[in-house]
Amino acid sequence: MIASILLAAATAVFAQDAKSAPEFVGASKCLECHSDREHFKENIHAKAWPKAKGIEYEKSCETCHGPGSKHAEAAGDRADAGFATIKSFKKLTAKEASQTCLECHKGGDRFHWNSSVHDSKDVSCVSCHSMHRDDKAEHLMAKGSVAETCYQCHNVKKSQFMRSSHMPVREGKMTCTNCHNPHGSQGPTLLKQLTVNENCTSCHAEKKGPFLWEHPPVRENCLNCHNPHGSQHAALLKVKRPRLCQQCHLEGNHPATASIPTNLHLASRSCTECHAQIHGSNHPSGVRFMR
Amino acid sequence: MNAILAVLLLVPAVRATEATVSFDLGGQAVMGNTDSSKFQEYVDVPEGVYVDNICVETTTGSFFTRLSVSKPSLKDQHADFEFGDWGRHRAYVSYDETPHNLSNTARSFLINEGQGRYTLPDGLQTDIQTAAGNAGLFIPWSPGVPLRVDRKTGKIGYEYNPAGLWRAKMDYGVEKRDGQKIYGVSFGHGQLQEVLEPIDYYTHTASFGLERAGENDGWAFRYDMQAFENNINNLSVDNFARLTDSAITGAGASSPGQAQVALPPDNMSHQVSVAYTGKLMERTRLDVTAAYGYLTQNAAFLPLTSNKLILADPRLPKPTEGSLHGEIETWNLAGKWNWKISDDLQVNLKGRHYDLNNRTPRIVLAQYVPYDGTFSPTDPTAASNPTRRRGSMPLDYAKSNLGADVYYAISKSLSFRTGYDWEHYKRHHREVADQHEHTMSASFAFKPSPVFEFRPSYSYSRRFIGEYNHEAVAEEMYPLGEGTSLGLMEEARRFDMAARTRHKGSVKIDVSPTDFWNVGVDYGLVEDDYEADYGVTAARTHYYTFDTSVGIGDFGSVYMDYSWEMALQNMRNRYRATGLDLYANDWIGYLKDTSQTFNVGTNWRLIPERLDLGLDYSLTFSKGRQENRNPSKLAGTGAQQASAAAVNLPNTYSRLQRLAAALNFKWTEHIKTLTGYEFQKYRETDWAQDGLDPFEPAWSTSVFLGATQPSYEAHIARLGFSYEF
Repeated sequence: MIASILLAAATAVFAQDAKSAPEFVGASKCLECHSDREHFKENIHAKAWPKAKGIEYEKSCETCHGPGSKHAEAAGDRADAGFATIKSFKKLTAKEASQTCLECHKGGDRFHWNSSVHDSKDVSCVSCHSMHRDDKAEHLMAKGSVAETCYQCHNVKKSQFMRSSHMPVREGKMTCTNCHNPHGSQGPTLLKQLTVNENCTSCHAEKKGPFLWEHPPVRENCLNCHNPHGSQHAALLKVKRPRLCQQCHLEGNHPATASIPTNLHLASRSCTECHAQIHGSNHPSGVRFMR
Repeated sequence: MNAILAVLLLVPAVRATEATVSFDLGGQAVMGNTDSSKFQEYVDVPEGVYVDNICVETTTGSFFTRLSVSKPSLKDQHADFEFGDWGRHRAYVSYDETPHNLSNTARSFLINEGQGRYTLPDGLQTDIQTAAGNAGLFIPWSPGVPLRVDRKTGKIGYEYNPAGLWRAKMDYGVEKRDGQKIYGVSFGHGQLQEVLEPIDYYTHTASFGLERAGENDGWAFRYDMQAFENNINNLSVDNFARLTDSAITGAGASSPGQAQVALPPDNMSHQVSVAYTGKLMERTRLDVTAAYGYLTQNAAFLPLTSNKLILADPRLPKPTEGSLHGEIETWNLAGKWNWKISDDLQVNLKGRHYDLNNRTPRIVLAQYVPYDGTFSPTDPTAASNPTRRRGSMPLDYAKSNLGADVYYAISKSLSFRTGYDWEHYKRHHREVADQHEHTMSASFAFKPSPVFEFRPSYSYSRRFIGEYNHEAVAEEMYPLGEGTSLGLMEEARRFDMAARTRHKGSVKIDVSPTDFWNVGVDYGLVEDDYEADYGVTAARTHYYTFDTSVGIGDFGSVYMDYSWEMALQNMRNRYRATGLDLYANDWIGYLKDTSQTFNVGTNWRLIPERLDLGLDYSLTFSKGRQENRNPSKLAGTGAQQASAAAVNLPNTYSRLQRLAAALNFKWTEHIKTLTGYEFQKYRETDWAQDGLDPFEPAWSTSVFLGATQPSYEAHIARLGFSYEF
């Protein structure tokens, strides 16, 4: 008897669930209200899905947002329980939002996404990418360009790129992702390479060496002397020469001379005028990095 | 090449179901004082008519082609061509040029003879040598030489996704860098000659990757190769004050007629890596990577000197090795384990070991010839004459990291993370062999509502060092001693190896009072206190930024941001001379760099779908201060006290202002006109280079290029036309 009652109750509940489960309605229906998303047709997803995933354009909205019949029936009435049945990314947690994207985008640059710096700080895919943009937006970035998107949180870097000595980011000839992989990496500070030096020498290959005469702080970390994003001193140096060199070089005679501005040792590029091979020398007489 | 591109584009275009072509072209006028290399440092600002952008896209079913060219034929042109089958194949070719304009003010009589040989007219060298005052008569008349290095990069690649889970990619790239830049050569202590360094580099890169990214796990394999090739292996330059090498003195000195320096040698590197990521057990994920790298360099050594007289002297020992046989191996092993105990509680464990193993053999040279001008005619191995023997140091190090952190979501709006990290360095050939750093960190994320977010974080680090052997480098580099020069001070600590306490904190606040208004504030601080009596004793960097933006429906937006950053360093140093290594000659440096950037702008849709207006203004101002003082009364002779005397160095300033206005009118669905105006004003004050001429009477034995990057002011007006069909 009790079993029969429970069975009947369960059947009724499931029947109700089945009756209320939203169904797929197609993109045309979505666009009746969301006409501002018309340009999604030009989006990389709309173009690539039919072939890559077998998802036709009509199914594209609901591939990410879930079936929309109840949402559509609500016709914009937020009080209607059906309105919220659509998957709204604004209401998802960062991890939930990212998980939707990772269903398709697991590999490539996202290979190390899980528990990466951004993942662990609740940055999600939609924090940086705007999925509905047309194809002209670079990587569907939320702010139109990679750099502008990064500046949303890393505003001080924008300022550093504006300084007199800078990487050509503000000119558009480089961008943050030339050096960093914001999706996660095995290197420090999300660098694409395993170390700072490997990252720098991927473009400045002439500084790789190994040299006959090596300058120890150079071999270990370029950032001992340089600020890679921008500096008010020449050559992205952290401190103006000669003080930069004098922070370590307290040997006798001229390395530790305080010097006044009219001293030849301070002219132009200061110490590196004579010690020009400061990144390393391969000359048998280059022990002082002068040859 | 053009024909191939045309075929690749046009054939699909003819058969295409969809094709889009767009191009932007226009005319531009530039006015003002724009001679400075800073104006077009990394870009080409054309005058007259030019094409800004061309884009051609075709789609035939799932087959696509895309050609995009920006600023064709200009010095910063860029082109991409890609084609493929959506989701399956993609092939691409790209080409980019990036100029680096270093200086437009350099002047020199040097003549580039090719292959790194720079000469001066013999008569000029003779005349300058004839009378002391002649340099001042000739050098100021040096003709202008451009200092610039241009990068031209081509890349070709292919990606293949045979099935959803698999992906293969490969690419090859070559980069050419050419031009010339400033270089300093000394012909003796106090005789400096700025010269031109020729740049003729090629860098080849190739990579191959294969990966499988499955539902619960994935692995990836990658191979990278880089080969650097310098077509000019040495720079040989005439001494402006000497035509020929002078006869060798009894002490082994000869004033050289030319100098020779080694330019960066060719090198080649390979790296392979394997990565795995996957769910090992319920609620856990493992992420591991192993990578091996191999770098070689074996370019032939130049002779000890280009001084023909010294080189021919039988008393000069010849190097025993003809090249370095340089080899470096790197190993990287990294792992991260994430355990999601519940939705609210997570634990991360991470570890990494990076080992740079320098297998380059150590080379000890019996002599070196500084300035191409002196050598030791006596037995260089004798204890009484140790200053010429030098030993190379194949530097290597290993860096290990271990860490753990716990994340706990106290509530839906408040989460907390705390962690511990340990870092260990093991080095060879440096002052500190063992170094440990312990870091404890904590951070909160508080987001009580979608309109407010508060994220403070703090970390505390202590770095401990083993024995600091201040003579470690000297003992190896100067096997028989360093001669009369004083070595590194015993009390000095190099900042990258000094014991240190670090406080690091940041606060981020983000407020969105309405859907259309956002305010963000960011503050960061890094404070280092070094256990060092000499060298850098303390450093502090802190910054704050403020940004806000307001959107006014679909009609417009206004944005503003401001940032301020200051870097402070305290250092202590000492003027040291033999017999005068005294506390009294200490000097203290207080370095303070400040930068501020202000940016404000607005975008307006004045007539919907027709007329857009954009305005943007930015100002960046930087100031550098170097205050120096002696804490005690100076000791020594008058000349020694003059060297020990610390004075404040003049401040440095730089300021960049930019104002940009753009008005775009859409005449039809396909045609748009673009009108723009931009104003740029750059000011720089740097006492070390301002007004530096090729000949400076105060330093009459030296010659400069006079290479500066002076101030500029530019007005740029544009009228453009955009067509899309």
